[in-house]
Amino acid sequence: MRRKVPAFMILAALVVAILPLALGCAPDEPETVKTGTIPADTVDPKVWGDVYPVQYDLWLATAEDRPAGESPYKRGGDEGKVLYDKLSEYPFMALLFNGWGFGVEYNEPRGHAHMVTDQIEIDPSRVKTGGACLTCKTPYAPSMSEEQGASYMADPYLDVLSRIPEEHQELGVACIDCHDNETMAVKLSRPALTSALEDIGFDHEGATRQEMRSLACAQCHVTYVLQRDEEMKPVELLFPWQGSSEGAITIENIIEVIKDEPSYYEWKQGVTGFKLAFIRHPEYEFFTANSVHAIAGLSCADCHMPYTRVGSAKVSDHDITSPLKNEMEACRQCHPSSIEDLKEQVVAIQERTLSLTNRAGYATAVSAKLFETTHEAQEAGQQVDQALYDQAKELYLQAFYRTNYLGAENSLGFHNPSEAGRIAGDAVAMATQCQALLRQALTEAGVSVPAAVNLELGTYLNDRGEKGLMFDSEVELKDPTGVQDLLTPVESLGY
Amino acid sequence: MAVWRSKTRTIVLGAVLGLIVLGVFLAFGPPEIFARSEEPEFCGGACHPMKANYESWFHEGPHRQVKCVDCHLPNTSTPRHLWQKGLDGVHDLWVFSTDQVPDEIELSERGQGVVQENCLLCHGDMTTHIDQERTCWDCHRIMSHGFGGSVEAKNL
Repeated sequence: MRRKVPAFMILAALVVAILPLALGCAPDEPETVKTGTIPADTVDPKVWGDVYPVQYDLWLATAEDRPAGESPYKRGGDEGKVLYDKLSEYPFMALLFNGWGFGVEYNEPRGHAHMVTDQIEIDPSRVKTGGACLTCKTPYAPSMSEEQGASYMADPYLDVLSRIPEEHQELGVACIDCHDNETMAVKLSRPALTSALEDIGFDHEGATRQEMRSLACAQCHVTYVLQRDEEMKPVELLFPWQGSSEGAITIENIIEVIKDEPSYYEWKQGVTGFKLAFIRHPEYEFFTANSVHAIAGLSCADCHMPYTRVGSAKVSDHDITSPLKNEMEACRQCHPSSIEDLKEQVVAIQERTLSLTNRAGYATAVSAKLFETTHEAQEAGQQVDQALYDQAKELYLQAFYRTNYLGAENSLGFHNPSEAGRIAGDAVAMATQCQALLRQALTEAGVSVPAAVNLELGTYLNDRGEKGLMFDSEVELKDPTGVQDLLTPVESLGY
Repeated sequence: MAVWRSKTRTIVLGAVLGLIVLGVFLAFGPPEIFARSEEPEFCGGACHPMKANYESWFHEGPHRQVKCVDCHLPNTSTPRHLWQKGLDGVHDLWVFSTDQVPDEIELSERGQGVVQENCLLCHGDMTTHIDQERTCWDCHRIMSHGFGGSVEAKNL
């Protein structure tokens, strides 16, 4: 009898023969060629640029001026004028922010590359707070703040600046602020953000790359509070996100955090005498509050660092700018309309937001002036109804912070158009009711107030700071619909 | 066992061999069933639920030159390709015959993995600098047949 080969062995032999064919023969996965390594803690962008020259060249381009006329309402950094006085664009801001640096010199931002230079060149009252102002500007901030602690936060700005290696004293955001030096993974470097993310229950350690593409920006494009001690020296930088959650860091929650906490008051408003907190550039909060593009899963980088082809590689465009100044490249991947049509839609949204921001701003400004009148009356010995006053003040604060938020956010509504409308609408309602209550209180106190309150904008707009800045009427952004003239007639503005 | 040395064995083996030969003949011989089933006209023509997706692909730009199987079946090796083709074919045939085709046909998780792998097979060189976690069609939406302009692909 012949020894038979068991059937299962034949099967096994067949499987072993087929397996390499079945699984193998796939082409190698493409990999970038690494031309060098970047040592840990390297701040110098040139070292990073030697390994990633394409991204480096794109990043350098943020220093260049943009073609003028592409973005009619955000002209900062455009060829020609370059610096646009925001207080002249929005005269009501000059009134509302009178009392500290923001009311002295406040310009439209320009390219990332200029961020520290802009701080050096602006009126010194803006950086009076101290080294803390460098937190979002210099790549050396995380290490300096850790090493120097309180002296980093509160020592004079120029002193702290001089501690940065000289060749990098005017270096703005650089590679190390967002990237891991070995893997180029997007990485967070600012502890204020990681701490705030914990406050809202966002697991940033487990964030997807797409989420990181927004969080990297959220290190700086957020509102923050510089908590002060009794001498108004900054002791901590935090984001007022307590009580909020991911995708719902609302203006209501932010106001709730900052409105009644005295250590969060950073300045005294000249017109009203109120000690107030402040809201800065809340792009991340605004965009993620269920805007249509946030819901569609887009990150900041999808629009502001769109993928672009350089040679044979597709890279994120590190020349960060407005899509309006980049031929709407980012938009056209999903929105196949013409560039003109896309721009028209964006500009239309911005115009409506501009109109409503004017509405809210001037309503709040009139309220502020009425408070000024009320305080003068009180000083002159008139009795003003306390209940009406308190109600009015509460409404004023709500309106002020909303106006502050809208003016500080840099998209002029585009990041979340309906939310901008909602916030502006609320601000107008609150400010108008505040005016009504104050007028009632003043009438009861026997003080007569004109129908159109004179805003005396000229006193706030002219002779500002060390440079003696003056109102530049050419850059003013009036309400495009013309409705504002009905509510605050030109004669009452008091230029 | 006695049966393995019997005439039955010869008949059974002969039948199996015959079936294999018939299968190979049908698939790769003159009837060319394999080649024809690789063509888009087969996917869009044989099964009318697929017609909307076929029309959407038909009216597309650059990927008009690329066949359905170039994206929807693994192409890193022939055995993988054939194996998945068999599995998918039987699955689709079953679903179709038992009238379980959904109103809106969506690509399964596994299917998405296959398509993504095929994107990179051709375009992988270009994408080494960018996010590898997202699907390509997250941005290049027109590649999804549902967004390719054929309203029918959304089966409205």
